[in-house]
Amino acid sequence: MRIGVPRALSFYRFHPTWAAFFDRLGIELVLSPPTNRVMLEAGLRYAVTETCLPMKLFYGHVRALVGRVDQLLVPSIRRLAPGSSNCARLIGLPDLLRATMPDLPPLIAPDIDLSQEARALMSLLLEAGAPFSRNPLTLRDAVLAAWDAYRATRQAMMEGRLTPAGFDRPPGDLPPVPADGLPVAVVGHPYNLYDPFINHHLLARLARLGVNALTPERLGPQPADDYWAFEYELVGAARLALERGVKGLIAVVAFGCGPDAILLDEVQRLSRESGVPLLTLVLDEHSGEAGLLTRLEAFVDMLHWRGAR
Amino acid sequence: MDRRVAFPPLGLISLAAESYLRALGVETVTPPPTSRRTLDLGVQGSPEMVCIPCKLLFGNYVEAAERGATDIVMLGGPGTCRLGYSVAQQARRLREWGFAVRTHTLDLYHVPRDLLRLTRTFADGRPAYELVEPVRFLLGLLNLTDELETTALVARARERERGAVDRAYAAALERVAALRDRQELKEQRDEILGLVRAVELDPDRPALRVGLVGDAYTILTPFLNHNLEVRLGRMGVEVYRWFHYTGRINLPLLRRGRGGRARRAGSRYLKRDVGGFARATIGEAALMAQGEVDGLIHMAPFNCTPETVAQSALVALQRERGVPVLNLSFDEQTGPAGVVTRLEAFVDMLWAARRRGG
Repeated sequence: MRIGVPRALSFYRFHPTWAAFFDRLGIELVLSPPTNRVMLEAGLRYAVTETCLPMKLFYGHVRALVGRVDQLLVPSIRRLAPGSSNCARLIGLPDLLRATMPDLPPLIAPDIDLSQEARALMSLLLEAGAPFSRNPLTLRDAVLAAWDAYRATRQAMMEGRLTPAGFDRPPGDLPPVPADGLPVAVVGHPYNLYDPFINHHLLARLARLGVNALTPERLGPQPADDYWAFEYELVGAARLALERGVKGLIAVVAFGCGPDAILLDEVQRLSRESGVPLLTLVLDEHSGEAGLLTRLEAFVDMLHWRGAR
Repeated sequence: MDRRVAFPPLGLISLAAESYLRALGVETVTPPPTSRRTLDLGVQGSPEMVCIPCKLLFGNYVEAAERGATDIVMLGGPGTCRLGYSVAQQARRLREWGFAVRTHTLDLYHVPRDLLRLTRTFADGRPAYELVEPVRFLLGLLNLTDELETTALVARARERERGAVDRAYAAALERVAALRDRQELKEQRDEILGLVRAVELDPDRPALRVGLVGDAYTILTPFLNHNLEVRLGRMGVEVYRWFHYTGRINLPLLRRGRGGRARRAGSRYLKRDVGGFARATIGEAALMAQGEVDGLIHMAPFNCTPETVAQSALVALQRERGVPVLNLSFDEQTGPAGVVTRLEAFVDMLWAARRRGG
């Protein structure tokens, strides 16, 4: 039994949790390769034109797995806290996929709704694992392993030992961030920050420019009372970073992202009120590398110049 | 308390809402119909990448405040879509722009609940039994406007004299706007409906049947959709809209009726509620695709998050049931010529399909 995991969207949030869970059940997870141009082209054939780039890449990653795996893991993320909401595309992800691709393998599509806290997570995992093991003790074991992995990952990311880019790599294999460099908050959803293809190697470029990029998972615990499930990754993280005295803000959003279209307004407000400069990078399949590099260099130069003044 | 309440222009809902508020004894302010100026205001006061209904609604709120509204009913509510979040932003921006207005949210997912809540706020402590009549008046009004609109949408395809339906319809709406209570509504209902029903039609003229599905704001705003419904009617197309004014209020009661059947038919294509009108729209589309219509037109604002999900689900519906679907998305850049060309091509194609016996 081989279960395919698209290296996109929720991979960058939950992969260690799923990996620990299925590992205990003795099931092999197959990851799609890192994003490349061919995968994007494959995704574009299935996605509706108006959707966002991360969705189009997600389709590409699914195409890279179809035919190679027995099942596909495609969770639907409904809400992470009571009264909150999530992007329609992330909620409807399994439905979207079934509607657009007739040749899919069966989907493992648990509905993630954490508004009832840890208990909901447990029952969710039990449900997801039920088809793979009849032994309740094995299942319980797998659930606990998943829970441990989830907390360990959070902790390691908080301490800067791990980023979502390192989810499928041995520890210590991460490109170093210049810790004493110019502190700049880089906020955005992890699939926009940690896929070098989507953002033209943004984080590596920043490191080369001597920037200590403070990404959301390094900044602090995620508050649970936001309206959007992943609001923290943009607004909350920017707020925490400003408290820490960052010299600049970089917001990375995908063109056509529903929640971010509104959340960006909040980040702009934070920048205005604090006087800390903001660079907004909007990603789509047409954005070129040269334009990005020029803007990055100009922004970092400007921050240095402000610092020297 | 001195209140002047405004409701954003949204099809005939605004008409019914205002009559209702007046029946409650509340003074109302009618914002001007959505126009180029509304759009300019909306664009100025909204995040750049947000969808056009968000922008237009903000423009509507500003224009209502300019006309002296003290209380503005805003559309939104948690879980609906971006509107759920943007109402808070919009309320704040109204105050930043210097309008001292009270804002009230009408949650599109909980219309009956919020209707009662807003009624109690606006009725200022009047006893509940005095509110029963106005509520029944409102339901009657919504029912009448639904009936009027449904009739006009179908009749346009066969009118003998071009524009006759529109004239009768406008006259009927004037009569509706003048109704003051349920008694008058009861007395005049048949007469008002008769205005539109009396238009001379050509029963022998063949007509296509097209279902309109998608975002309700886009369907209900002629400024945004370049008067699509009237244009279709004049091309000889009977238009069936998925959205009914009474639907949102009766929703809980309709589980066994068409609403429930739509939900079951649509669950094959979209199981989860992704917000907005996506699931309702897919359900209705699935029902209409069972031989009720020749084709479907899916209307959405550019980049509407729930409707892009619906659009994908429609791909599956099209594949399985062979129903032709035209996707139209609208934003501030959409021009009438592009819309008309696509409508004409779609209508030609539907005629060809019918001749082939499809």
